Amino acid sequence: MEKQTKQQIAFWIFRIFAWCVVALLLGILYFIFSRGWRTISWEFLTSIPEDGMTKGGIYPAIIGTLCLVGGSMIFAFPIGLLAGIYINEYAKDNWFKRFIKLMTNNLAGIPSIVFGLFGMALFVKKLNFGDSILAGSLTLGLLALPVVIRVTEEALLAVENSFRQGSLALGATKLQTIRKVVLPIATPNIITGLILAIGRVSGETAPILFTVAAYFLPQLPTSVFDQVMALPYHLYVISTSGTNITASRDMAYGTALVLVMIVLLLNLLANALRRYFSNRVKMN
Amino acid sequence: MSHLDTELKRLKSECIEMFDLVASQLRKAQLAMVDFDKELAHEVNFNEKRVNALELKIDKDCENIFALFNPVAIDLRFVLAVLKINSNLERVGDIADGIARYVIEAQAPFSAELMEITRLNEMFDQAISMMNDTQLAFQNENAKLARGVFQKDELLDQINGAANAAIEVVIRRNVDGITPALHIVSAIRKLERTGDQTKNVAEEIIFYLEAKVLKHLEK
Amino acid sequence: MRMIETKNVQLYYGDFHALKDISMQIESNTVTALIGPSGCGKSTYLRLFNRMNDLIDNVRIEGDVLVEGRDIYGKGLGMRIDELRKKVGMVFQKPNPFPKSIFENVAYGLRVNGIKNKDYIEERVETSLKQSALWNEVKDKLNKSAFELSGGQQQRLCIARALANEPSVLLMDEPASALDPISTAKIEELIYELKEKYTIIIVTHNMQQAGRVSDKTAFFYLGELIEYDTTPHIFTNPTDSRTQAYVTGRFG
Repeated sequence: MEKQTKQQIAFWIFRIFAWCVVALLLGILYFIFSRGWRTISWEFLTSIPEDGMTKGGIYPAIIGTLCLVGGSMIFAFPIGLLAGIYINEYAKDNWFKRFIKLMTNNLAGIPSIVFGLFGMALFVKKLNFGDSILAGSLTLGLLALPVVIRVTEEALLAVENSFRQGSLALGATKLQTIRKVVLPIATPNIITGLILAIGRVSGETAPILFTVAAYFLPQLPTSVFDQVMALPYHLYVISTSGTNITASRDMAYGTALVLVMIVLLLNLLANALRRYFSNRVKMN
Repeated sequence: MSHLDTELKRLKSECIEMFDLVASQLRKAQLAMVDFDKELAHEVNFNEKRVNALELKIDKDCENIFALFNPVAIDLRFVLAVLKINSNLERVGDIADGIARYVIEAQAPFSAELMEITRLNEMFDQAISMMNDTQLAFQNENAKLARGVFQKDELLDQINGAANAAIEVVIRRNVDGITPALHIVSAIRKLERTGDQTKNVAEEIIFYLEAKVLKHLEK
Repeated sequence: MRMIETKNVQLYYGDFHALKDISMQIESNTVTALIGPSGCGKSTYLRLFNRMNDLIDNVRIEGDVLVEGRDIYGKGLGMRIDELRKKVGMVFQKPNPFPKSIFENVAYGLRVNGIKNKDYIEERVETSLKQSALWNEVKDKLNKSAFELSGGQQQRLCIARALANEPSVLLMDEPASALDPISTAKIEELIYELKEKYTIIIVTHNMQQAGRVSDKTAFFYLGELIEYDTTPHIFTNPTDSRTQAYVTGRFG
């Protein structure tokens, strides 16, 4: 066969598979959109569920998810960032560093339901937080921690050593070098990774199952020790164990659509922020 | 100015110094012979050491420029030309020294008549003028002036060709004066050779300025 | 004046003996080229003088390294590492300006060393950019990102950045190997001009470059200092046959 022909064939195979992936994604989006868009309204977003969750809105679930995501990040971001900086910038390349890296990787591989059980045992029972935003946030934070650590580590690893050497060679200390040179360069990547972690966390059901999520709670939380509803769990509830599953089908698709939109928006935000920061880093 | 330019400029001024030195050696050899000034002849003999030292210095500098700067194009031709100009000039220096030695060896002044009929003085003047022209051509990068040197050489050839016949007459008449007469002939031969050396220098200048090889051509 | 001296320096990376008993003296206001095949220890030797080898784990250094007569590895009248790195500037193989403005790049060394006086910083930035022959090209865009400059300009910016600290020694690790011929020529001219005020040590793989810019050349081979002499001597009549083989391109 002609070299050219072979190339054409290979090229088309790659192209078709790439299209398949895009088509699949669009298919899922279309599926959810077509079934959910009619449900979406300002009222749906801002009112509480009624009539055994077959009517009304999902406002408490949205607020609950936002609280949990925010809470988990307050916990996971600083710790993960500092741990990532320690591993990549300070730790000597010895067994201890390799051990930490191995452990964080293992942590990332643990099924999320196990995090849920652990959160229940530690935060809910042992520390006596009860089913609460605090317990749920900490559990979600634990889940996000290895992701944040890995994201930070990789973002720092991507910073060329020549920048560090250049700074140190001018008499800067290691801390000055990290603060003034390394972190600004790594920021766009860290932020992107962070937002992707948020996207991941906002969709998790298992960790909040035993630690915070309320089956039905038509009011907003007033303190971190309150229970809340959350979008993924709400979706699970109304499509599998609601009072009237058939009647709440529309509500389920509407909820799914909101969840997908939130994740999509976060991803777009990640992109925009990355662009903004990388420009700022250059200009600074 | 770039580092290489600085080095080339220095090489050029050294080469001009060599021109000056050798021309002055030739001039002093002429005066020593005409005025029978043995002291001046000794001075020429002494200064020959300076010529040699300067030749070695220029050689070394050329070698360093080749090794350190890898010159190309006109820079390369310049250094190559200086290398050859240098050894041609050194030979002119040798010739001046050789003539000065005749003065040192001579027992009595050279006969003015002999010098007159062999046109020795005229020949000295012409040889020195050729030297000056090539020096100016080198200094001012003037290829036209360098080409003029080839015409001037014809006079040297002419005087050299006539010298034998002229001196023969004198020797026949006065056998006692045979040694000084032979010295004069030898001086004329040597001066004819400085003409050739100077022509070589002019050829190198044209090579350096115009990248034209004039050697072994009818000019 | 003697700017730098090493006495019987041994350097080990773990078990690997990277520098073997190097003793050498470098006069001030000279350009010294360190040449030799890859892995011969020339870069390691260069990095002794601003203690950049310290960044690598498992490095062991023996012997004395003196800068302006003071032991920089902390024995006796030692020198603090930040003080040393202000005194001994460094320019790297690849231009590595920080992702900051041109002005902030040059001011960086001053700022991290605790200088706050704005007028003084501005004056140092201007002087350094002039010294590195970059001022005319950047004076109207000091607040633009350093990444907008060409590779050659970036490297001159890195030189300016090092000069802002008013060092006495400038270490250059193959400073032109990532640049085009015109930029390379500019850097070389700059080195030639800078030696009036600074002592420069340059590592280079480019033999012609060593010839063009340096006063003295040191040839390293397998961690040993084989020959150290004036550059014309190394390039026309090296004493050691290995030096001759290397400079003539017969090995390495």
